[in-house]
Amino acid sequence: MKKKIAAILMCGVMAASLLTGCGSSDSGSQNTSAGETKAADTQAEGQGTEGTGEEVSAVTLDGSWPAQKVTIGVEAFDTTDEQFLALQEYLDYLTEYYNIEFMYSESIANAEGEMDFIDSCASAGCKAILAYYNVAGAEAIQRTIDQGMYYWGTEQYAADFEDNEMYLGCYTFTEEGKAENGDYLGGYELGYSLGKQGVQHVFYCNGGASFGIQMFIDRQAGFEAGVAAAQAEGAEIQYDASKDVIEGWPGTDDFTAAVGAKLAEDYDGAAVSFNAATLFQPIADAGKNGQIKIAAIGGVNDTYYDAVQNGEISTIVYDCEEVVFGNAVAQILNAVTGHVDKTRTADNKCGKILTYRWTITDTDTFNQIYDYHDGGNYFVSAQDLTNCLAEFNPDVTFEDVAAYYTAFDLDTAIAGIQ
Amino acid sequence: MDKKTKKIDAKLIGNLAPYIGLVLVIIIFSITTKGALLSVTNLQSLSSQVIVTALVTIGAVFVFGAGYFDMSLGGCICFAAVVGGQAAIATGNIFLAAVVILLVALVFGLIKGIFAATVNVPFFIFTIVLGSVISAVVLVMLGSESTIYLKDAVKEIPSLSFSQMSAVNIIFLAVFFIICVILFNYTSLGVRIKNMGGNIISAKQSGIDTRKTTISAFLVSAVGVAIAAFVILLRTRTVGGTTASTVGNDVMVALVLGGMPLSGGPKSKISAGLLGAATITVLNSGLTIMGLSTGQIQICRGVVFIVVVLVSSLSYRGKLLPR
Repeated sequence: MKKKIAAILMCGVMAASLLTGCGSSDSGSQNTSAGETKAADTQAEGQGTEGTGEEVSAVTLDGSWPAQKVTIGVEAFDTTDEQFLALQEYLDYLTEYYNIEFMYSESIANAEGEMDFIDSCASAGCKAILAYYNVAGAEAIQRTIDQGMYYWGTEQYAADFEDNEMYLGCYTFTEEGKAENGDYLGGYELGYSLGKQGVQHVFYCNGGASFGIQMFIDRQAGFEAGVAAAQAEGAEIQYDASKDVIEGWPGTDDFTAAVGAKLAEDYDGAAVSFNAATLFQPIADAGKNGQIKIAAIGGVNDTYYDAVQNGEISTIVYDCEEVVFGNAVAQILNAVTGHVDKTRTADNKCGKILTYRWTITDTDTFNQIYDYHDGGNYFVSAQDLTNCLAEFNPDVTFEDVAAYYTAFDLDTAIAGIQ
Repeated sequence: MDKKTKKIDAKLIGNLAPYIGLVLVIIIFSITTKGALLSVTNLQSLSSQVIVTALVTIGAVFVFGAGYFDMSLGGCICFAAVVGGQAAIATGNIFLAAVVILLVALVFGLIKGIFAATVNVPFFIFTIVLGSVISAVVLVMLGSESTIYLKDAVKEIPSLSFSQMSAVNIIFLAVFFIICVILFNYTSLGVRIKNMGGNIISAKQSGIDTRKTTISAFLVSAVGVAIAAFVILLRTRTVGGTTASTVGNDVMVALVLGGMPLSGGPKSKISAGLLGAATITVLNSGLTIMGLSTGQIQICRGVVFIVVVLVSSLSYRGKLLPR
């Protein structure tokens, strides 16, 4: 009996010690755009403000605006995913300057989990949901609206909710008048880049394309179109969809065997529709380090850093988190501070913000972005964000906000750093 | 204090542990969430969140109580919900979907019951394999669509409002709980199940038809699975390969938090299903509302789980019948 009571007490002590210092997410360590500088004395950094109409002067962001704290729920499919972690870091950085906080979901496994999280957000007083992920489709959007919260994200259902002011739009990779979506374009860049880099024979890891998952189907279609486009321009790249595809996911015996078989052949290029790190070890085991160029949809982060320096990865299609997903904060803050009209288009529809994926094909560019972020800087800083907020820039319109984020293609971003 | 009094105290603490745990969790999170946990909105949300785990766990008490460890509950819900969803989309009739879901769940219950009663292999291994097979079959059935939506039905299926859904949840849960309490506590089926879970050899020697009892237990559990699948379909109006993927773990955690030994036997009780499901739901909701990070949530959940298991063990460790 004494031992059991002692064990229970130990559990309590363990919990207390583990949770010491726990609190809401704004208490953790944060990056700031000015390095060591805290929010109280942030000044305008003056970059990337073109396109937002009248440029606002430097304002002091001391974390006291909005007057009432705004809580925003963020849905994630995998809380250990590199891109999600980078987004989380950016959002947490913003909490240093604005009176906002973010409530992150655990990894959402299914529609029930998503609905539970939305309900919990409503109970916690969240004003909006930032849908980095959506599994329940339009039902999740409707549930969010029914709970009295704004919803941002999920382009697939934008048309269904475009007249509803509680739906704040989304980002899109698709230019007006074109049909290709972001996944198709991402895949296209993989194939086209490898072709232009002189790869002779490429295999493609198609992820869930063979299981009917649309995003992977689109990526594969884009990849094949990219290869064809490179061939049309004289590239000698070879790809046969019936032989040069590895289906499925890493972590299975089939996938490992298929990769091993491909590496035993004459391939000098690999395109991966998911995390390319899964190929590093097999390539090393096959003694082919430096002999195979990898193109992947990935991030500018530690996972890829060494591989890029070593030349193993020759192409990364990158979604800059503060540009692609960060515009949600501008839309949400405008809406919750009484300026929902600033989130609507001229014909009073929800706003879709065109953003660009950055195709990084050289080490210098990768390093510049990596170092910029590593130094605590963001392409859209907390100060830059004020240009998109009606409280700071009363003349701003949705078109201004959209133009601001759309302006961030890779060249513009790199020019901003330099 | 003499030894006998100490024993009684330990037993009392052990029996009350699940109740104390639930009350403590409610009090702690009411304070830490500044009352948000017990707001009307959140109580409605909690009814939606608790319903699936509670229904499945209550039904699972019959199976676990008889000494069988069922790891395929999530897969069965998923399969039933997908088949029901496809029926609803094809016909636009949600009531037909309910019937289909019930039939599918009962078929799975029957298969598992017959297997458990007749094949002499560790049953939990069979259910692990069954769960994997079901998941694979669901993927094949869904084909090129990873998810299906009720909005695509040939005839519009009206959706329930938040309040209506809460009412449906409460009605389903209350009715199923009462029926299970009666079956488990006041009929010979419950007595036979508890005896089987305590010691199947002695149960057989005392004249219990273990095959019939086993199959009956799985059929009751299947009804819980069916209602859970139907509720998921009504609530989310979408089903896919990952539907109910977390239910299997939640049920086991709920059973333990509810104070029921996973080995089954005489200590099994229906209330464990409801108490455990309520505790884990309040715990999850409270931790989420507090805005803790994923890691912190997992730590808290783990610690609470360990504490409740330890306290619960005060009453039943050493009290198991010989096996």
